[in-house]
Amino acid sequence: MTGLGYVVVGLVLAAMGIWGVVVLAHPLRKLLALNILGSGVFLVLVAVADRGAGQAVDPVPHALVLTGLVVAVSATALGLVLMLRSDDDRAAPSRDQSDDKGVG
Amino acid sequence: MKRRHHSLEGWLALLAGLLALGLVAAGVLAYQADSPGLQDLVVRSLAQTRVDNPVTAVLLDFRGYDTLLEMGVLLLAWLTASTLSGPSHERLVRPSARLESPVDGSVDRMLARLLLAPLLLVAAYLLWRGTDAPGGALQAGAVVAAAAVAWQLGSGAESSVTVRRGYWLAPAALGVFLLAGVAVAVVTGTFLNHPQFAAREVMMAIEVATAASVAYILAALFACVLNAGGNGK
Repeated sequence: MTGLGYVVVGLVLAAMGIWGVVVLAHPLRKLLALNILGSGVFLVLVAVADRGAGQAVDPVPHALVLTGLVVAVSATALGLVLMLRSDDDRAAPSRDQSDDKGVG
Repeated sequence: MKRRHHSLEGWLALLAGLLALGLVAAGVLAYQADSPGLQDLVVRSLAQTRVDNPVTAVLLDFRGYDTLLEMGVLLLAWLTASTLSGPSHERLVRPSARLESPVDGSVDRMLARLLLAPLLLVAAYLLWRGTDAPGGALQAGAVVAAAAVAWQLGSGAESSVTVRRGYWLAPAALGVFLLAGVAVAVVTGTFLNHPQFAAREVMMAIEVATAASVAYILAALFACVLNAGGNGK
């Protein structure tokens, strides 16, 4: 199988991502680690679709990766928005309390 | 004490990472050795869909549910992000101070505009070819989103108004997908089971809507990230 190198690189990236998600403290670093984990998984999936010389490529893992990429990008954006908002709320707690009173 | 705790955590994380690495490696090797893969099944069933790109057939027909639910996930992410990116709806229309300062001029306005046309052309080509060759809705949507991001970086404040105006594009894919699913259910009796005579046309309609929704949602999420934060200042 020709894709073994890609599988190995993908696995190393995924392991680095898992390590980063657990160890790194800053949410932005965690988010980046999650992205590296995702890239590793995608790389493994793309490589796994290779069924050897002369064989057609398996389209199902490729479709999974396409779906996953778009979801990963939007999840990262959502994570960034959540991170920025929680930063804001910590920076200005008084404004948020008055907002809460207004609503309740 | 704190430092020690931290290093223990690091070792546990390393262990978890290595364990996952080993498990996945074993799984991949076993899969490569034993499983025939799904490509033969897909190639054999391709005639039922009347499209020539097996990836498109998998995305929009064989595994249509995955893509349908993906559109739901994107819609939820966009809804959540746009609710959080400002305390009032006023803020979403009026560009915030944060959007103006770091973003204005970070990409040359002229360059962003020059890039717009070729990127849109590439996206249209990807969408058009997607049914029969590598390409398709998600790729086209991503390229349009990239063009929109460059444009937002180039034109800064005024772009957020335009982004807000296209909000109806966000649920378009989910809507078209559900409508198509129900429509084919009337014919075939099964939700999302495209009948052969209309499969290609149904998939093309879903693809156009999916490309539009993906492009809009990704571009709008970028605008949300720019607009979030900076409230407390």
